[in-house]
Amino acid sequence: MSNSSIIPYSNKYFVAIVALMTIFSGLFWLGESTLDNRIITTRYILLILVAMTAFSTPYLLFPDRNSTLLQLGNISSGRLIGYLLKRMMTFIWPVYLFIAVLLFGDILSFDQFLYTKAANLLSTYFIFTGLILISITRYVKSGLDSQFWKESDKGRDLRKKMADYFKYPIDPGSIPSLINTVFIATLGAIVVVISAMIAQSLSVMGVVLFSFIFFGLAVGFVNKHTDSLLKNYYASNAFFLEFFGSNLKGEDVTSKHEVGHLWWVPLQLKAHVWQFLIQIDRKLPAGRVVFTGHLFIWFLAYQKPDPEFITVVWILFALLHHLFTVLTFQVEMSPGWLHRWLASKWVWLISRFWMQLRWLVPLLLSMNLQYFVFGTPGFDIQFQVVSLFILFSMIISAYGMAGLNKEVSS
Amino acid sequence: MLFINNLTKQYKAGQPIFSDVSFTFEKGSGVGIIGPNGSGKTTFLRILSVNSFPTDGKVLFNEIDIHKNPHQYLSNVGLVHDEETLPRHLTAAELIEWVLRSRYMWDSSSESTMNTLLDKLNLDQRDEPIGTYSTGMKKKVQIAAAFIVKPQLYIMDEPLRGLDTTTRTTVLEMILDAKKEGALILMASHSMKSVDQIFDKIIEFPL
Repeated sequence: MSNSSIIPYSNKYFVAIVALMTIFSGLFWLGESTLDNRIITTRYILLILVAMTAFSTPYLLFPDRNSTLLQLGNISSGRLIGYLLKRMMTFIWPVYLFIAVLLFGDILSFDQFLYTKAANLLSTYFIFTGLILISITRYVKSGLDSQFWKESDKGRDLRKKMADYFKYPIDPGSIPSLINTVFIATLGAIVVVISAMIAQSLSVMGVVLFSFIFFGLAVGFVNKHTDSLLKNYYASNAFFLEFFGSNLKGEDVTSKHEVGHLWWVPLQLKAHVWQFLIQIDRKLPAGRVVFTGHLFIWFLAYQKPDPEFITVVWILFALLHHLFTVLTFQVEMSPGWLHRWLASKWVWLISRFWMQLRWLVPLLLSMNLQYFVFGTPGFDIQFQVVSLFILFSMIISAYGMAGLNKEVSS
Repeated sequence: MLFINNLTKQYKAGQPIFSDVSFTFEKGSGVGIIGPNGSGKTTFLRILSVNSFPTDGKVLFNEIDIHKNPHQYLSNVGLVHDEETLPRHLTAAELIEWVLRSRYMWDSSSESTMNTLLDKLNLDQRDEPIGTYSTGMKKKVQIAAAFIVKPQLYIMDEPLRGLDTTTRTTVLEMILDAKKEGALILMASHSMKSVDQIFDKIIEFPL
């Protein structure tokens, strides 16, 4: 069975636009920077990628709509890891391109320091790819443990204790994922810090060697679990399918969201925004994700990096908010026939746009507070960040609206 | 009420699913659509529910061209699709509330109306996410969403498939009641045995 046939190819125009935007963003950001600035920025980016990999891997992999096809084809464990890696790459290939542009997109001295740039590129790729391999393997492995904690008496007791003592009813089924997130984030951060220390005290080749060893260990880790990977994949897929369906990662299903609470939404859009918010919050805890993002930027700001860097981080963070809108494009959230039936495509455009306005106040507050504490980002930067937030919200909502024009042909 | 003028649909040039089809359907009537798999029944209903567009010809609902003014037309329609997806993270009760609110039909009596309808359909798990439902339960949600808005036109593709015997009887009664109240019923089915009392006209595919 060919693995490639079940992963849909991206639209070539979409790929071209993303690639151009990635290249343009990289050049715009660091096109005229020094080599040192490029290396430091790449390291910060790698830290952000570590956090994102630790958190987002299960969301990108599970539940897998292709699992029944994989069963039909009776895929082997060896080919499964290739398939999973390929699935991840369909989402993250722009990151690889972006890192390359950050290091090589040197307008002022394009042909200088090529050796150092290539070495840094290699080490970044080795660390990032190694971490992805470890993350995939650990999350694939976690399904059975998650099921145990979710369904057993032990898990039920733990849930009760957490609710009694901490007033927070954590779902025990999410504990293995939580441990994975902490483990992968910590491991990744340690590897990045060690590589930075080696770069400062030894040589750039030392960093390449260290990252290559890390990558080799990651491959070894995958190999060690190859035999059980297939069984674990089916178990994890089944668990996440039930988990995202029956008992929810985000807010508990019993929690009531009242339409009347959405005072900030016009009457004509209220019902549509309301159902989007319910669905997103049940898919993942959106408020907590955004809060973590703010915390991370504050952590970065505390390191007192170049103000330009923090500006770009704020812009990226503002744009990343719109992944929630992208989430609503899924058929499982927005069946085309139902949307067509209930409202016009223009109503959907405005509803998705309006839904995102809820993040603007925290964004502005956080930026203003940071300006007050660290002197950056200034008001002009804040204006740019908010403008880009609004512009992208419109563009992405319009993309979702265009999806409604697709004919159902089968 | 519904005028189908010279309708043609083809997915590939020269291979029409049906061509130059014309019908007129009046309010208060029941139209059965039958035929073997792949004969074009679902495509026909998808065109009438504006989920597919004709290659040629047009469909008018009370003089509205349904493919030019889909929103205006669909506000009069109740849909039950065959094997269609539903938002898996919403509960049945929330979905119905959303449908009613989006049509400005939600008021103080809506909750009890909704519960009565869901009771009638034996959907006890109305506060559980739809993602946990069986095929039959999802069908019940679709039926509830279609009937709660009391439309003038019902477009239903195999609405009884996957339902238990008791619920089938209930749904048949609901369809007959809607017809008596003046709604137009368009319904596809593989078998007409148990549902023939609904129909005044049968269209057999392939056309």
